[in-house]
Amino acid sequence: MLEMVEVRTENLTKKFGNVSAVDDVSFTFKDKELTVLVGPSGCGKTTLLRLISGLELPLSGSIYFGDKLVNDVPPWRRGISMVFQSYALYPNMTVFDNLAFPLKAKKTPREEIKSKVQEVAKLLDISSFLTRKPRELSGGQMQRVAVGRAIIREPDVFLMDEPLSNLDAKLRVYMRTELKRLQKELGVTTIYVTHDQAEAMTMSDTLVVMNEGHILQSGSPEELYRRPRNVFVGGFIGSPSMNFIDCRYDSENGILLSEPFKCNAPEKVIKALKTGTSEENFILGVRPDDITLDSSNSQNCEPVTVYMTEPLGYAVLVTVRAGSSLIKFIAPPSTRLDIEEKCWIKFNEEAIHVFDAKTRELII
Amino acid sequence: MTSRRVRRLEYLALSIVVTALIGIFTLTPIYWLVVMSLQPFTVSGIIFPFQYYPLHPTLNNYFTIIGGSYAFLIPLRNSIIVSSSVMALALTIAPLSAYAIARLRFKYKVQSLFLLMIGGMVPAIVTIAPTYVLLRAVGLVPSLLAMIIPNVFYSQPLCVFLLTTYFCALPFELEDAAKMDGYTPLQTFWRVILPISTPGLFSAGIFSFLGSYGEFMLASVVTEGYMNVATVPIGVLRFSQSVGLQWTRVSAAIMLSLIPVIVIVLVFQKWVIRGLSAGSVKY
Amino acid sequence: MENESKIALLLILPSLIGVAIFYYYPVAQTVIFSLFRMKDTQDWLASPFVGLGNYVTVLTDPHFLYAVFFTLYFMGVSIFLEFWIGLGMALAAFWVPSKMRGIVLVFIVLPWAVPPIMEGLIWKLLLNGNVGLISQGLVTLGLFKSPPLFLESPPLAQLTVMAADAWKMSSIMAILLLAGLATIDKEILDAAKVDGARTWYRFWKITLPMISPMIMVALLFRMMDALRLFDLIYAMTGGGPGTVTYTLSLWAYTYYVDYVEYGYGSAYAMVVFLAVLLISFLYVTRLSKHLRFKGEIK
Repeated sequence: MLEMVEVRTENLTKKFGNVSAVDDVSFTFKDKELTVLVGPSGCGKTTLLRLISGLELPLSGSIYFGDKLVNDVPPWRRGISMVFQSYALYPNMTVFDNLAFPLKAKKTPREEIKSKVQEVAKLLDISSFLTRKPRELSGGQMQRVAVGRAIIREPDVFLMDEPLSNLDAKLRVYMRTELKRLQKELGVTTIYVTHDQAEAMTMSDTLVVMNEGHILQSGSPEELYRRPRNVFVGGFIGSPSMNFIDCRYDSENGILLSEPFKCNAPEKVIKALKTGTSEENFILGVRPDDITLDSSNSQNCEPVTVYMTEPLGYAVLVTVRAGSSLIKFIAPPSTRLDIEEKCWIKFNEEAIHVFDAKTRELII
Repeated sequence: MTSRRVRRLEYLALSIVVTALIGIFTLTPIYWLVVMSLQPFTVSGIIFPFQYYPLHPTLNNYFTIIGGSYAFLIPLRNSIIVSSSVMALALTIAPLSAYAIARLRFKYKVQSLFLLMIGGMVPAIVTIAPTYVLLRAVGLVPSLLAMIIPNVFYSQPLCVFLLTTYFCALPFELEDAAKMDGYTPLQTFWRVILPISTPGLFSAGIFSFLGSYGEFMLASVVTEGYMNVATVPIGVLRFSQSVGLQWTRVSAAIMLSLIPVIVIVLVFQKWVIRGLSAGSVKY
Repeated sequence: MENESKIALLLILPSLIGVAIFYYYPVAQTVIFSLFRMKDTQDWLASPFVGLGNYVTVLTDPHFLYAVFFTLYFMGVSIFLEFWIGLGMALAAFWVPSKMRGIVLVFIVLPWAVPPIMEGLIWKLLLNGNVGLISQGLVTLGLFKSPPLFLESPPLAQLTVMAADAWKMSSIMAILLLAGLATIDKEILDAAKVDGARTWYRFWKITLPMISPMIMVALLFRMMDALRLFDLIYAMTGGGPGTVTYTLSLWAYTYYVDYVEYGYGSAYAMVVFLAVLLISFLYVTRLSKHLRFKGEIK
């Protein structure tokens, strides 16, 4: 069952009433990779997943598994497995029967079922409760049974719909690693949906950010982190999230302004404004880890006022007011600042992003 | 046409057929009732040649049974009064018990529920003789109260059961919040729980209405001979027995009697399913 | 806490008192009646005591035995029919597109509104040789030369009564099963779909097992109703032709009302009651381990 299977959608659209849950999406999910669909609630990621699974039918567009058009193929013949957020274990069956169900549906001989179930149970460390029913299991145990049920069929494609969302934080972090390892071992094309950007960053080979039914950007996690294509992606990926400041470039004095904050305009900004847009106004995007305290005020900035400091243990998260915006940045753990104290900050000029004020797209 | 469109059309066509079949199965008796009630009256009761739908429909049958000697509106009126009262009273008493069992803490909870529900197993035939004697002894025979009061309690087992399971399925947090706001259990019940109990109340209401509307055994014993307090089951049955072959009129009578219940069921049917599945039996 | 107990007691009291007066007292009284020979009187204190004599007479009465046979026969046929039709209708309600579902539900729910007495009369009409739709319809279709004697020929009358009951009860079944089907989590069926289960397989292995508690409850209720059957028979055949469609309740009623034999009638009534209790008891004890009430606070 381990042939080359990439999942490809072409102009896929699905509407609920008048709302386009998935709007003309064309994308290729690479073979053997773990692709994560991430985005806020209602962005269409789950709908896209369900369209790929066959549980929902598209309004228009096509879905291909490898070379095969699967639009008219029902879910039980697509060679897929799915793990649901609520696990959806069969409540009236034991764990053994839950795991065996996909094999029984295929009319696998009993001996083979037995050995396969035991193999999978051992792999996921659930052998000790094969005779229990789902209602007797903890959340983590149920989740592993759900995963077991998915892998036992040896599908071409794994689909996972927020499988870790119902687990407590510690277990979630643990299971992220386990799932990623499992995927690498089995080498199955996997499409994973989550709303948690940290989960998305750590697990994905390819990361896809969606909003309002569209794919905004796809690529490796590093790509999306370093070069977000627009304000939304920039703000969604990374925690604490990217700071966005509405600025104006004063070409006469070579400064950028966000009244009453001002500071020397970095080279990058000047270059961007020359080539990218004729506007003076733009959005400056800069990550908290790319801003530092600067007692020497090397960028000749107006001082900013401290709004709040939050100790993280390994660093201090400082929030300052600059003009009308609040900016967060990471400071060394020994930093001591009082609220309303004034200080200077400095931007890492290599790492700032300039976004068009109107389109909110990246200029540079 | 793509195969998907073909399949969708097949599905639609089949759905229409299935719906029609179900419609035929469930509605044919009522259809025939309507047809017969609109047929012109014949003394012999025979309509020849046979018609599948009324060729000369007329409302005469209805007018005849409403007027004068048959006065069919009286049983109809009685039944509506009785069933409405039963429903109102039952819905006053049952939710109290149901709430107490579902939510309050006291010792003999299970036993109380059991006691209240076991009554539902008692066949009507067992209760009518002593009930008749009792009602006659307190002078309630003949009167509509003789029908109302027993039926209120006949409906308790089912109503209390339905409402208890419904209340049990409501989230606890509501009452906790009310308690913190300083409400007593009774106030909580009145202000918080009841307003969101519409599905449960409606389905309990329908059951008590329908049950008392169609109740025959007690009615037969209690209203025998006193046609001014007869309810519709008695009215219709005795009418049919007295006029025998005059099916056109009997149909009109039955049809008139069915109108209130059909209206009620149609209006409240979606609540019933919701009320039934709110606290259903699960693995 | 003590306060809560008092309030609870107060709340339950109305229902409890009423149920005691109108269910328990009559049972007790009927039991007492059944131990006496009460011809033409309702005063048991003045009547001769016969102990279990009435019961012995009832249990050896050939009418009784035949009625038992008929009731069991009735249960078998009627419940079988109404279960499958009801299940079919419930599944159909889920299967059709959501726009049609409303109509299907209305269809299903309408027979429920018809009181059993009226139902009996309606079926009597439908089967009437002269003006009955079914009778004449069968003749028109060429299946019969003259309208069959549905209610006049003994074996046919029995089956006819069962069919009439099945008509209304199919709807009740459908409603109960619909409530059960509505509790099934849709995601579980989705999981079954992606696990490779085709439609029929999903139904047998997932849907049916998940509604089996509801099915059990529905079957129990139907069995109890069949034991107590009265209204439909009274309206349709009056127990006839002869006494072939007499049920136990009808015998009790006859003895009460026609023969004014309160003692004997009460014995009959008690036998019905005991049968109901027995069946429920057996049912619940054998199957209680498969049932569990959601949210029941003990």
